[in-house]
Amino acid sequence: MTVRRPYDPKHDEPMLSAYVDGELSAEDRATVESWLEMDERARAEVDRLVQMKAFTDHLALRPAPREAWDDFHGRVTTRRERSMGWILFWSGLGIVGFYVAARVVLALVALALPLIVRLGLLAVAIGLIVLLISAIRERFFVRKRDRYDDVVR
Amino acid sequence: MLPGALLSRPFLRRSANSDAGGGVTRSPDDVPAERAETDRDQQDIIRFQDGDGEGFAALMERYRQRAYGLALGFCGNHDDAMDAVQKSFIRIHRTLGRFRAGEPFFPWFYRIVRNTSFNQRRDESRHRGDCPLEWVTEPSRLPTPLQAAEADELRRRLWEAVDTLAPELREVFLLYTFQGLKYREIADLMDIPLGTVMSRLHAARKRIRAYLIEHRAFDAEDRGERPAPGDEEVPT
Repeated sequence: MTVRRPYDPKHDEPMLSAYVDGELSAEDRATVESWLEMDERARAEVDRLVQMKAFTDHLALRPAPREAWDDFHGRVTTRRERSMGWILFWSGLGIVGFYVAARVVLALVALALPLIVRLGLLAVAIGLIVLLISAIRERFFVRKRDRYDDVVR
Repeated sequence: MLPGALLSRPFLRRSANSDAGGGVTRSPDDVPAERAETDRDQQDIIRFQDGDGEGFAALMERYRQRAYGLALGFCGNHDDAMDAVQKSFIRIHRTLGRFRAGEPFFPWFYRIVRNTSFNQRRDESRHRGDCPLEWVTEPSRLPTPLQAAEADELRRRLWEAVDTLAPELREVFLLYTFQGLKYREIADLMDIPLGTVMSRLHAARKRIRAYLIEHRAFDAEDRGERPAPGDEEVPT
């Protein structure tokens, strides 16, 4: 006769779950059944798991309403085209923006302006870039994650 | 005495019909059907890679309900789930051209839907809809006959409990309980050992049960049961 190790709740409880789900091998099932014969704690835990499973097995995720699939293909196609449009738009804007910025810097360097005016123009340019990046970041990232967006002040 | 009678009772499993929130139940009879589905997937992928857009349309038609079932579990409400499903198919369309023929489609598809849904949930955390669960059995035929109000409360509390789970536990619980996958299938899908699936599922159930008892939605003789201190960690 095989001598089986005693039940240790700390390590063995997950096996009871698998037992209730019918997911154990024959050998592991025999081990669990020996615990159930000998250990009250194992029996109590299995009872609890069976009770829980008995409820969850009668529940399901609600299916999508039929109208949710009306023109689904068309909507995915439209969003796909738009996302492609946005990628092209921002890529193009980046290239053009870089070109314009480079030309402006070169023109400023060519002009014989006093150093203080050059520094002032540089500050204006950097400020504009920072403001633009900040506005884009808020538009696309921060507002989406603002937990207090729904709070009426 | 072991609740053997309870264990031998045929538990109700969700049907594989496509309207059941994407849930699937497998039996040995399903193996040829699964093989046929895999063949259909491969044919549609090859059609798409050869430039025929109908291949993608056919895949989308076949997988959209399953995508919705997964996304609804991860996002928790209809609007975000639909949004996640649409974004998932956009990503699939973008990358399907590089999909290696012969690889199984579902695990790849699952990872896209899962990641998109997690991002959706993170970005749209303000959205909280109605509980997306429903009873598939008359309340009077439930294991403990419940009044309609009680059944509704239990359903709502159960979802709240699922919603409080750590993502790793929640994922395993949803895949097993509402998608009808077996432990081995979950392990393969998530690329984790079988023992981890077992321990995560058990930890999820213990936490859900503790939550239900704490909120008095679950009648238990052992009311007041709490997870042991070690149970707070997510099993790896």
